[in-house]
Amino acid sequence: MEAFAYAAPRTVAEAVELLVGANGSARVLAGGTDLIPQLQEGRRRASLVVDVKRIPDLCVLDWNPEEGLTIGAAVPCAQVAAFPRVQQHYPALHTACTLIGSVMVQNRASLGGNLCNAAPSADSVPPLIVHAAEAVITGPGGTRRVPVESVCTGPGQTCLAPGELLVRLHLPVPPPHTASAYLRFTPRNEMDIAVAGVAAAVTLDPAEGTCAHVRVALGAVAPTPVRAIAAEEYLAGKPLTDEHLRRAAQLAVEAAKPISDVRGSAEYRRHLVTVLTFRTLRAVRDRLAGGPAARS
Amino acid sequence: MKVTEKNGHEYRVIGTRPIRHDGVDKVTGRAQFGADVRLPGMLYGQVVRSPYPHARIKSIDTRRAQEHPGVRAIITAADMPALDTDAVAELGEGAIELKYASQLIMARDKVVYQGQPVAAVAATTRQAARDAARLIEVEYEPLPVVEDALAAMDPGAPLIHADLYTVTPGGGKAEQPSNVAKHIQYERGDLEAGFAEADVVIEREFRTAMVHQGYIEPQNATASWEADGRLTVWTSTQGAFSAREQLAQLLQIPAGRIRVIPMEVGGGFGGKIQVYLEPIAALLSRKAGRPVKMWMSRAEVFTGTGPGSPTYIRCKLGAKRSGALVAAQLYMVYDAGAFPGAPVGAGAVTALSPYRVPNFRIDGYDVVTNKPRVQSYRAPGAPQAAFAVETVLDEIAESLGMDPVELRLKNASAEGDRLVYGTPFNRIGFREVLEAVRDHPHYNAPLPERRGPYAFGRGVAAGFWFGGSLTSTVQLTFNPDGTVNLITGSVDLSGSRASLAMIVAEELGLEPHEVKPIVADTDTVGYTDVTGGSRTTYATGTACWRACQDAIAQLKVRAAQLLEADPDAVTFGGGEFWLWEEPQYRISLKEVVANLQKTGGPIVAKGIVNKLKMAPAFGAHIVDVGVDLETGKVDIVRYTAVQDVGKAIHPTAVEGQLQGGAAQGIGWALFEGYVFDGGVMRNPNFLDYRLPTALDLPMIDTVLVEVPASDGPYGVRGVGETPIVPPIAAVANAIARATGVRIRELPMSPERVWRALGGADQPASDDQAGETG
Amino acid sequence: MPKVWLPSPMRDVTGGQHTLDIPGKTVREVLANLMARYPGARERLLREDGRLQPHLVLLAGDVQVDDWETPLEPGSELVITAALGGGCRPA
Repeated sequence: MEAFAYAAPRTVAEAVELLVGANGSARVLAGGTDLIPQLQEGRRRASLVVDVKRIPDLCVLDWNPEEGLTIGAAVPCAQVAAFPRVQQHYPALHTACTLIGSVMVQNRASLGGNLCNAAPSADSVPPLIVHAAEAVITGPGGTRRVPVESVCTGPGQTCLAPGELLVRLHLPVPPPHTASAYLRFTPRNEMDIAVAGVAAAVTLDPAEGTCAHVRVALGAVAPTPVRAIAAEEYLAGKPLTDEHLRRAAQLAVEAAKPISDVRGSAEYRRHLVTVLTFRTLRAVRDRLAGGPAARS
Repeated sequence: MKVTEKNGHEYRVIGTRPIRHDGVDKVTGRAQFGADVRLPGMLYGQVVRSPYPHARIKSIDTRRAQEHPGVRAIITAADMPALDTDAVAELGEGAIELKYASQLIMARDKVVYQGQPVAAVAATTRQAARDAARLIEVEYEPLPVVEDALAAMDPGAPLIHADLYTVTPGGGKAEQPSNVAKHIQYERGDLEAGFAEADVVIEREFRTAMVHQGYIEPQNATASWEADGRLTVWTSTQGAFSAREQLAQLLQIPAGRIRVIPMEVGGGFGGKIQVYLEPIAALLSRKAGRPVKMWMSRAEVFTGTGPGSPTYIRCKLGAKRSGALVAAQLYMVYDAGAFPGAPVGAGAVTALSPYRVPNFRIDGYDVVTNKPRVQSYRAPGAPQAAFAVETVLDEIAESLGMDPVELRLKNASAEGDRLVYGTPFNRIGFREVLEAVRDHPHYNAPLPERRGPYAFGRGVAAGFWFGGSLTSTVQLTFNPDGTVNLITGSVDLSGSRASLAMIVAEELGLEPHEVKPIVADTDTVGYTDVTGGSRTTYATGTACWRACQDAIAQLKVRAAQLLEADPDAVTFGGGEFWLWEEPQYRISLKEVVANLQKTGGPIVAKGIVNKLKMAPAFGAHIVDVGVDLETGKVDIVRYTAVQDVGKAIHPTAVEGQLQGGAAQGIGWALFEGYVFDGGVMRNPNFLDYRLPTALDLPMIDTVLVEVPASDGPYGVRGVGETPIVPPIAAVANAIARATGVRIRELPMSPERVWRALGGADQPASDDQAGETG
Repeated sequence: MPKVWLPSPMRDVTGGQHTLDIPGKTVREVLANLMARYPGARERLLREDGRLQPHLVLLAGDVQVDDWETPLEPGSELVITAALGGGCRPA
C-alpha cells in the first residue's frame, strides 16, 4: 500500500470538487470492502481517498408509490435488505443484498460500491438491471441519469468520468403482476464469488397468462453484467411453460462471453447460464403463481 | 453417542468435560499470540520473495533500499552461515540436508520456488519496510520450470538440484543426478501368485492436489539478539525446542544461547514446525541491534510455507470372491516441492497396513519440483494413500456385491497382524470401529429419494495414524493453597492444557481447575518434542501421570512426618494420605502441601517420557452426499465419524478433533487445491483457495470407541490425525454411489464432477426440484 | 533366537529372505551376527563410522531402540525399517 490523502466531505458539491482536483487519481470510499484490500494489495492506487459516508444525499433510502425506490450510493447492503419495500417489490435485489460477501461485509458494503467496483461477478448488478434501475451521477458538468446496464464498461471500468460521483440509484415501481429472482452459482454455499449469476423479472399479462415484459440479466459471464436480449424477446408474449423456459435458457447463452479462469472454464460458465436461467425463471413463475416465495 | 469398551476403571475426572483452562483468555481476547508481542525499539521486518519458480540470481542490489528512510538492516543469503555440508538437520522422514534447510530460509545463488526469500529488510515502520523491500533490485535469469512430479521424474527433465542423487531402496545412491530424491520399497509374499489367485483385480490411478493446512493465524516471529550474543525468539510454533534446534543449526550458534518463547498458536496442523521467519528476524535483529518483528500476509503463507504433498498413486488390489484380499501393488509418487522430504514413507505404510494382505509390493518416490517445499499436514501422507486404497476397496465391494463395511471387516488388521515393514500391531480397535459403523443408525438409515437433478449417495472409508511418543518433560510444583502448577513443554494447539491438567487432577485427587497448566519456554522446562504426531495427550499425558507418581512418593514422606508414622505405612488415594493399618489417621494432600515448609521445604516432581509403544488409532467415516447432476455441486448432507480413541480424557476435545479432521478432509475432497500456472500459484487467497465454511458442513456426528492402548495410562490414544484420513475416500465413494461415476482426482469441484458426469451433454432439467443456484 | 525383520530391499543380500532367525542376546550381538553371516549387510545398515544409516530405525517389537545393549529375549523380534515422519518433524 502506498500513502494517500483522506477527505470526508459533507456535500456532493464538495466531493465533486475534491474528485476534480485529484484529476483521476482519487478513489471513492463507501464501505471499503473492495477498495481497502485493493489498495493494500496494490491492485488499485489512489493519491486521495474520498469518504462519502458523511454526505446525506448518498445515505438516502426511500420509497414512494410514484417514483419508486431511491438508494443512496453509500447505503450498506444490510440496510437495503432490511427495508420492507425492497423485499416486497424488488426480491431479486433483496436476494443479492443477502448474498454479497458475508453478514459482516453486508453491514459495510454499499450497492454504489458494488456497481462502481465494476466486477463482472457483482451480485447486485444483474438484479438492478432487471429492476430497470438508473444511476444518478453528478459531476462538474451537472447531473445525468444512466441506465445501470450502461454503467459498467469493462472489468473494473465504468462510464463515470474523472470528477463524477455516483449519488444514488433509482428503481421504478414495478407494474402489477411482476415478480423477480436472482440465483448465482458458487462452489461454496456462502462467502464466495459467483461463477455465474442470473437475474430475471417478468411482468405477466393477467388476461392472457403470457409475459408482457421480461428482463433477464447475466453476471460473471462477460466483461460486464449483460442483458440476455434474445431470451427476453423469445419469452415476450409467451406463457411461462417449462418448454419456453428451457428454450429461453438456451437463448440466454448467446449473451454470455465468458472467460476461463481459476473459478471456472468458459464452457462450464455457459452451461451454468442455461441451468441458472431456467431455475431463475422457474422461481419467478412460482412467485407469480403466489407460491410460498411469492412477492408483490 | 458413545460406545465404550469397559476397561474396569471408574474415573473421577477423566471422561468429564470441564471448561478449558485457556477458554476465558481465548474468548475475551486476552490470550497472547505472536501478533501481540511488542518490545521497546522494535523494528518491522519484510521479506523479499522470488516471483520466479526457478531462476538463477544474477545480482541483488540493496543500495536504494538502504537509503530509504527508516531502514535499519538488510540481509541476504550472504548473512546466513554457509552450510554446504551434507549434514542432516534431523533424522526420520522429512529430514532435510542442512544446506537445503538453509536455502529454504533464504535462497543462495538460485531460487527453486515462487515465494522463496531472497532478501529481507528491517525498518522503523511496517510501511517503510514494505516500501524498502520493493526497492531491493534482484536480477534473475529464469530457468525451465518443473511443475509436475511425474514430468520431473523423466530422465530428460531439467534438474532442480545438480547435486541430488536418488537414494535407492537399499540405501545406495544413484550414479546420475535426478529430481527423484528417494525410492522406497516394501514387499511381502509373491505378488504374481497373489494376483493370479484373485477373482477380482482392480487397478486405478489417483491424483491429489497441493493443499494448505489453512491455519487462520499467519506465521510470525519476533527476535531480539542481545549484545552479549543471547537470542530470544517469540513465535507461533508447534514446538519451542524444535524451533530452538533449527535456529541453532541454521545460525550455527549454541542452542543454550537461544531462548524460544512459544506464543498461543492460531492453528498449525503440522505447518508450524518448520521455522521460516525466525532465523530471518534473528539475523535482522543482530544486524540492526534492535528487536525485529515479522509476520506473513496470506499470500506469503500460501507460497512461502509448507503445504501438504500433491500425489500420483496407482493402486491395484486383488481379492477372492469371498472378499479376502490376496494381493496389492502400489506405485506412489509424492511431490516434495522444491527440496526433498515428501511424506511418502508414511503414505506407503498407512496405505496397506490396515488390512491383511499376504502379497504386496509398494514403490514410493520422493520427487522435487519447483513448488513450495511441503511440510507435515495432519497425518502427513496418509489421506492421499487412503483416498486411493479405500476407493479401490469400495469398487471391489461393488463388483463382489458385498457391503463395503463387511469387506473391510473381513480383511481388517488386528493385534498381531503386521504393518508393512514387519512390526506387529499391538492392541488396536479397527474391528470394533467397523462394527460400530455397521451398527450405527446412520449406516442403516434409508437415503433420501432422488429429487429432480439432486441425487443422493452414501460412502464409507477408513484409515489410521500411528500415535507417536517421542520425548516429553513435565514438572509439577505446589502452591500453599494446595493447587498445583503443571509446567509442560507441549504447546497447546487444541485444548491439551485441559487434558493434561485433568490427568494430574485425577491422580492427585484434585479438581481440574486446581491444576494450573503452564506452557513453558525452552529455558524453563526440560526438553519436549513438538505438539504433533498425535503424541501430546498420549506422551505428555503419560509424563503427567509419571510426575504425579513422583509427587505422591515425595509427599508420602512428608505425610508420614505429619502423621508421625513410617513412610512405608502411608498409602494414598482420593486426595488423602492415610495409614494402611490405622485408616482413621489420615491427612489430605492439600494439608500436606500447605505444610511443606515445616516438613523440609518445597518439592518439585517430574515426569519424563522418552519412548512409549505405538498407540495406533483407527477411524471410519460415513457420509451422505447430495449431488446436483446439472451443476456438479456436491453437498454433504449427513456425516458420522467413528474412531477408536483409547480413552477420551476430555470427550468434548476429542469430538472436536474428529469434527475438525473431517471438516479438513471434506475440504480436500471438494474444494481445496493450489492452482499453478508454470509453477506460479494463481489462487493465493482464501477466496479462490476455498476452505469449507460452517455453511458447507452439516453437524458432524461422532462416535468414540474406547479400546485401551497397550501402553500409557488409562489406555489413552492420540486422536488428532486419524480423522483427516478417511473423509476424502468416503466422499468419493458417496459421490460414486449417488452418480455411478468414480472421480479419482482432487478436488472433486463442481466443474470436475460436471465433466465426469458427461459435461456439456447434460440438458437443463424440467422438474421442480433442486433450486440450488 | 530373536527374529529379525529386514527392509524389503535388503533381500538381495539375504538370498531373498525378509525375516531371519539370528542368535544374540542384545541388539548389538544380533546385528553383529547378521552382518558377519551376510556380506553386504554392513554397508546397508551402518555408516562408515559404525552408526546406523540415518534413514533406518530399529524397533524391538513396536518400541524404538537406540541403545544397542538392549537385551533381546529368545523369540523376540527386532525390526529394521525406514525412518518415518510422524507429523512432527521439521523439513
